[in-house]
Amino acid sequence: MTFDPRTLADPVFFSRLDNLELRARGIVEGFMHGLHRSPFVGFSVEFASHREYAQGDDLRHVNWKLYSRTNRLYVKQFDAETNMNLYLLLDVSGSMDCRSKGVSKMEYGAALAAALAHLALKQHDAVGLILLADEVIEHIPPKARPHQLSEILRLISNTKPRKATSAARAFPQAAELCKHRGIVVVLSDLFDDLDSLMQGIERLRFQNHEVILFHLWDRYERDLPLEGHYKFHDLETGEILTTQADGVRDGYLAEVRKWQSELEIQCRNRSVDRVELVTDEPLDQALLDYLVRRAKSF
Amino acid sequence: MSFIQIGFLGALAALAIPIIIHLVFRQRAKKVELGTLRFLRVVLEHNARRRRVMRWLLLMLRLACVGVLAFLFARPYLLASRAAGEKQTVVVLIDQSATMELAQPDGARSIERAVSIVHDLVSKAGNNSRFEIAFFDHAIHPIFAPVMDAEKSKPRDPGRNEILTKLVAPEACHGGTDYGVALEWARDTLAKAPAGPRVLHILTDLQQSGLAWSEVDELPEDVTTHLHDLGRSAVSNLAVTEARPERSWLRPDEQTSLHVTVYNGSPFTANDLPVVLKLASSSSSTGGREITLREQMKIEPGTLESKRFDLPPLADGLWQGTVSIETEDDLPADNVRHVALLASKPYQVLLIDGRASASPVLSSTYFFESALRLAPAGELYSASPFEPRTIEPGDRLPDLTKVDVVVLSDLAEMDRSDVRALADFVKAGGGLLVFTGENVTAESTAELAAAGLTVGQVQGIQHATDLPIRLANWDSKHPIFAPFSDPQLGDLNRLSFTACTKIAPAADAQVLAKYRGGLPAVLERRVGKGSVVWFTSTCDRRWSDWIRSRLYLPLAYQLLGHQSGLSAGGRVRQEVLETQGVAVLPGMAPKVRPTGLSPGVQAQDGFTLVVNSSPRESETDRATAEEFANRFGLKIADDAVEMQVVQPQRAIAGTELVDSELWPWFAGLLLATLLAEGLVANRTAG
Repeated sequence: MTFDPRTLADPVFFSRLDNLELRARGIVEGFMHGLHRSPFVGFSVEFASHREYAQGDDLRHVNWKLYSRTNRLYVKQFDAETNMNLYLLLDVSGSMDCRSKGVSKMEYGAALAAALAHLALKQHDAVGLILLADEVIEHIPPKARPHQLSEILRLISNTKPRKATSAARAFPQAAELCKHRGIVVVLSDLFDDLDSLMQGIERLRFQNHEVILFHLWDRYERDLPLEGHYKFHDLETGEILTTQADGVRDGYLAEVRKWQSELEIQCRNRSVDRVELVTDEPLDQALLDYLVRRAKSF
Repeated sequence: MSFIQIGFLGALAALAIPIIIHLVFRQRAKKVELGTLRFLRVVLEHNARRRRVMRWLLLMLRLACVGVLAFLFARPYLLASRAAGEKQTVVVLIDQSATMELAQPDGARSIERAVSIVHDLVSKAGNNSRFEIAFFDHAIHPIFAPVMDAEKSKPRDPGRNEILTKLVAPEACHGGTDYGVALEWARDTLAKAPAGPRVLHILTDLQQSGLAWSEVDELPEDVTTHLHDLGRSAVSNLAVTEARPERSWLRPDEQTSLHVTVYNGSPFTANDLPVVLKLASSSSSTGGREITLREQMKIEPGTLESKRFDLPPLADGLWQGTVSIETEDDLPADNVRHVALLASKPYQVLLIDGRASASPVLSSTYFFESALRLAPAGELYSASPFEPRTIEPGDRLPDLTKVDVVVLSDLAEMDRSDVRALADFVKAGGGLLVFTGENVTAESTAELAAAGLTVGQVQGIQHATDLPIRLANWDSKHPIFAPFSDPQLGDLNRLSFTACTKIAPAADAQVLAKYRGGLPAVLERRVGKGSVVWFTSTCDRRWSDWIRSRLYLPLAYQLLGHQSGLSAGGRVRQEVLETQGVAVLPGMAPKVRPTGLSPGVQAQDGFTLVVNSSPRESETDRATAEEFANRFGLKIADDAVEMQVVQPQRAIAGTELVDSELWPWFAGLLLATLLAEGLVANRTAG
């Protein structure tokens, strides 16, 4: 039986790993084993040396001046060097504690944040972390130091969910902390007032950040795949509603789709990528989405 | 609504099941944590009102399913179905004919039993029932005449207590049975009834002889008839069905016979049955004489036997009494029959001749008097009902108290005192017959007109020109002309006249016959208790040759018979209590019987009335309910032929199907409820 490294990206598998660093590394390595083409190509812009052209090399990197003098084809080689700041904004509000199956949104988001940090640090990008709920709770400024990952992982590990969410307050505070231009990755369920949320994102966009929204869903929240009589408990407000799940499903899904549609429109208007992730889906898909968007940004 | 299997109503306790299920499920709701309830809240708020209604509706439907199921098994049925708000009209016909005197097994009279049943019907009826109750025999006797409600301008329905107070069995029943009269009244009453169910109750003994008397239109389609049979089988009855004198009015000291018929309605032969005739004279001249005759008869079962009683010469006066049989049977009322005979002179007719002549042939009353006398001058036919006496205008008017009819013939003038006496005579009930002629003018009749003895304004004489004056039309329903309604019995058109007196009829005068051209020929005017009849031509040969016609005598007798009362029955009249109206003669209009008659001899105004019950009432044979229903086209309810108060039909042990059961409706309702429950449940969010 052959080993499929992609199975390492299964969130349930990772949730059983206590060590978040190991978890993050496993995600990234497993993910990279599945790629046919290096995601690192062309990330740096610092020239290193020439080498002889080989079939398959990008013609854009051919040094045509040298060709005119030597009549031989050489391609330019660049040092791997970062100029990118990655800001990870992880929502730690109470709603992120929703866990219908093995992994909560909080855990899913934490694993994803760790993976992204590991991935970025391997590329020598500076990575920072901001934990926010009703306000910014903790933050680590972006740095490309090797031990930056361990600091990020420690902070994530020690964080407990907060009851309330307030995008109106937390996002401006986070924007203040994202001083240099970079990529801002928001890991949240976005369960807040849409206008407040968009104002916060607009602030980030105003600071010329590339914003990627990893919109985290629990399966129950998104599809309500329940039959029978249920007592629904709001993790943030403590409100309880009792109803027949299958009786309200159509209306519920319509409301969710309506909100998703509004959110999508708002994000598109602000050139914000929104990636929906459900906690029972593999994390590598999220990483791929991130990298594709990062590549597009250059 | 009542129930056959009332025990199944206990299953209504199962109504608790849906409630318990509801409560149990409420407690078992599973807990689920969500990041936000914002979407759920929107949905629930949006559907909250509808969902709440639907939940209650669902609960109600589920409860209804259980309830309907329980009702279905309890097999409900209706005592009487009626539309909400509509009044049920109940018409009750109670037979009070003579046979309702028959005793029931418990000793009560049948009529009393019938009244008792109706009492129960009225007492147990619902508030939305209105009753129209009538006794009937040969006539109809509603217990309440329509009383108008002043506020609502429509007949007022009597209250229940009012009905029960008024509804009392008559002390004696002696009428005939005419179902036609009763059903005709019932049909009219039901047709006029307000909208709603209509029910007819008939309480009768189903007497066979009452069926064949009259035709009746069928009752309205929706009328349900309940027939209460109160008759008795195997009735032992002997009855005097006829006591007929050969002549009930005869001359003093004249002899006559009485024919008596006795009917044996019992199943045994009546041997040596004593039949007794008793007559007594009330006249002071006879000193209260009595006649008693006794005979014995042998009568086989179901047959009639007759016997003739030869009476001795009867002295002047009224003889009244009974013919009876001395026996004991189930119906004693018909064991006696009343009789009356009058020994007196004929009707006294006073003729006042306006054209007296030495030759009787030339006098104006010669032919008329001869027609009445039916014998040569100075003689009188013994059987003639009239005894004429002629006087001339100059003669003193005799005492009119002993005169029945006065005839004026072509009379020119009359003394004022005589006219006044004549007017008093008519007002007291006497009859006045006037023949005109050349002497009758407006001036000559002024005194009569002043006394109110004319029938209009005399306008002169109308002479015939090229064609004779003939009678053209007449009131064939009037007693005078009724016998001439059939031309084969005598065509009055054949009578011709050369002249007639023109009279403009008074407002209160009735033109009974007219000549061609429209001139009145015979006129009548009521004056007090009597009447005045004018014939606008002569009664001799002066203006007509009608004295030679074979119609002269009948017409003269009809004119005098009407004025004397002979046409109405004479001085002794017989009445049988069996029909509402009695035809005097074939083709004649029926005269209306006075109400409130009972068997016996009664003195009336100017005559004696002998009243007996109908001999048909002695025939106690009974029809079946089917025969009765078929005869009158009744729709008899299944539970209708009863001896008791109508009770709702019950299924014994709950195994028989009752007509008014409602289970098919409840089964349909259950199906509909289940369908509705399914629909609502599928569309209701929990």
